[in-house]
Amino acid sequence: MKSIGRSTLRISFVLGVVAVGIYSLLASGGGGTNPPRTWFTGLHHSTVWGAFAVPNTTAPAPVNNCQSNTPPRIEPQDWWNAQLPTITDHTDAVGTTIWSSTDLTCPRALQTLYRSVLVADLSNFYTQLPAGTTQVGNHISKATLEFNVIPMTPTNPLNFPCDPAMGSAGMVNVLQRNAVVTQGSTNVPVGTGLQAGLIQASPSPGPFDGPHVIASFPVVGDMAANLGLVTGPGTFANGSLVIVQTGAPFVPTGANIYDVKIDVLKWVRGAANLNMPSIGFSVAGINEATITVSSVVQFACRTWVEPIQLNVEFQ
Amino acid sequence: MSRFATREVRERSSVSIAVMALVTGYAVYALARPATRSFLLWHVSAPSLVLPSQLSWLLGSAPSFLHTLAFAILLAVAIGGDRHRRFVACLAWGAIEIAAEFAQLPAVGGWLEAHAPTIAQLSIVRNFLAGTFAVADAMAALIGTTLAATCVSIRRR
Repeated sequence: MKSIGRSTLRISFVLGVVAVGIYSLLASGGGGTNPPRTWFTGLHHSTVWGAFAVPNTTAPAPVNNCQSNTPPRIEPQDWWNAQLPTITDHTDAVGTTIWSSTDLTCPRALQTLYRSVLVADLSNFYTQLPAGTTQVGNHISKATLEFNVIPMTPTNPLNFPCDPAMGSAGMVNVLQRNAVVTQGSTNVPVGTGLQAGLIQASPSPGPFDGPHVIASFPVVGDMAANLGLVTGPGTFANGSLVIVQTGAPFVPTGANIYDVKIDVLKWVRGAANLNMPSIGFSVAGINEATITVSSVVQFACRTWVEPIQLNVEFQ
Repeated sequence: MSRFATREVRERSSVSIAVMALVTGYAVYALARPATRSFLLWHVSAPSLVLPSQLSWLLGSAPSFLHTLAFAILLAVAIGGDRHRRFVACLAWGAIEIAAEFAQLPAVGGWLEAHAPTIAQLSIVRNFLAGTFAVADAMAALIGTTLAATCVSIRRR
């Protein structure tokens, strides 16, 4: 009898150990989940900057039927209304027609090379996580946008160069996803399955090529960092913005490089949870007090903000 | 000292090692991991903790090693019997740990999602699959198994 009791006790002990062991194994994510790992992707400049359309609102009705993929009319004012109050329309932008029907009475789209956009490809991040992982963004503990800034002139505190057409000190925005394009008097909401920061002129789901992607809409609410408030290298906004001078000691007329790191955890986490294939950040000035726009300046602006990478730490 | 008393002393020291391993493993989660694990009763945020990459690697696989060591010993003690039985118990637990590590391969998660979505949606299973397979963790489990088997098989004189 005593032996049976001892056996029962032992079996209970064994089952208890196995149960607790397996539960803790599962609950801890495999006993030894990996330490935070860093994933990074290179950034690339996009040529799809700010844009507006030439709607031909004063033109007579089309002579012929416009093609089915004719871009919808977009009211330029709507685009400007979405911008900061200090950013105003101007006439000296460098424009490129990106879509035009053979029937010139049909609406035409005109893209304006306006501000630098850094685009990070998020698509291969998802492969880092097991299939079926839900709430992917919750696994991200840190996300830092990093790029180099090479000053143009010493006329502003940080010498942040881009975009010279819009002033000196810069704003870094996250390109908005769910923007609205205007077609005549009708607002056409952009499909939720679209790529980050791109406004599509054709119906969802695409294609996302030049003729169909019309505009990008950075707005105030998506501001990641206001570099205009920064007066030099240092740590700002409780560490969410770090600027380090990496070049030679600053000399007003010499080469100088700033390494800018911006905490973009909020946006990257959101984009990851929405399974966005990419996320874009615009880099721009906050005013256009001294506008001297030329294609050369615009080109140089792109070279002054050197894309580096988007760092993501995750488990 | 009688044979029974010797065995009791041996089991006590083995259980002590197991408890220390569990406490250490828990401390790793509480101090060096995000507070996302459901079993954590307390957690200390240390955002400024920056570890050298070698130490970070060790810390990353430490829970696998400690968990395997602790439960292999506890299972061996619970099963009891001669050295051979305890040794086999350690190997059995080590096999479970290593199998669990391989179950975190993305292909397994995908298969489970496709063939047993109900199970895959259980929070504890989702939590488990959120972990990532790592060769280092499997190696750590193997080392833990070896150490535990050695620990419970040592003959005291």
